[in-house]
Amino acid sequence: MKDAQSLAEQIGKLVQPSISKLDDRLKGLVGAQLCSLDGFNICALKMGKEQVSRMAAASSSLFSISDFVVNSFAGTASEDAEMEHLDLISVKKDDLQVIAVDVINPRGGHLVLVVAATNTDLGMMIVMARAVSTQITEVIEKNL
Amino acid sequence: MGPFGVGKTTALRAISDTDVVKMDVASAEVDQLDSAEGKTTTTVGFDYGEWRFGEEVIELYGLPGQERFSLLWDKFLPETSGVVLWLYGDKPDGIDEARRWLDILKSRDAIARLCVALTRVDSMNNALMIEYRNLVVKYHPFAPIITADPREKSHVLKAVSMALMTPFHLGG
Repeated sequence: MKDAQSLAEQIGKLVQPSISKLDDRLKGLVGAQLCSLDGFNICALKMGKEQVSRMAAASSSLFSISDFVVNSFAGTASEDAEMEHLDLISVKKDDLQVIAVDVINPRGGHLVLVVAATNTDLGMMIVMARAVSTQITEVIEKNL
Repeated sequence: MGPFGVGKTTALRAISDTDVVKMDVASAEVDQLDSAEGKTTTTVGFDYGEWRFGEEVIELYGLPGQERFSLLWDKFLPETSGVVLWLYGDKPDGIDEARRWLDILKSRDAIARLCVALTRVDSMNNALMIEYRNLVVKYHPFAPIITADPREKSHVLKAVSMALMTPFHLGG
């Protein structure tokens, strides 16, 4: 567990600059967070300390539930089969748009990048989030 | 309901008559557990299964055991549900953990139909059972306390049946 925690902290420090770019490039950014699939915060931007743990858990639950729904429709959900990973989730309320994109962790497994913004074009958000996702993968691959 | 690694997903799988909806992922917490040998994943969404008998269907939900997923406890614990609280019977601080979980359920009014299932413990351990009885009775005067192995279908069926048959009580 300590190894996992220190690895998460290492990854968090490494990817902070990549995630911070969202603030410069994405108009209306409300917050962004990189978390593990089992619900731990790795790196957060524009989010309160009291928010990050709960949001990381919620994001992993959301990703997991959405993953199941998509795989059920695709006919690939089963009790024993390893499911394909989800690419993207998009949810919206009024002007607030929240998306979550898959991030490949070259050290093994996947991470989730969640981005929230107001009054922003969804397509732009997706492009930005995917670019950051790719960058995160590259940064981890090069440095760890 | 119950702590991480106690066997909630295993129990649900033991009695579900349908494929269990699983929302498990590889877990970094697994090596924390001395008592969950072979466990490699954790539930981050919820588990869902169905127990069918005749025309009746009992929907079975398993929820994550870690505090950070408490938002799911808030959403998935209506007071009308029967709740099986799975607890480690072999932990030195087991009673404290039981109290914490009973508080969690009580604060969500989810204690009305309750069965407490102690795992990894000998059913003949009367002293331990009395200790748990003395605690549980403060929350629900009629809630049964049993010893159960979450891998054993008959044990799990007994726990679920007892939770559903417990007289409705909202606690004091």
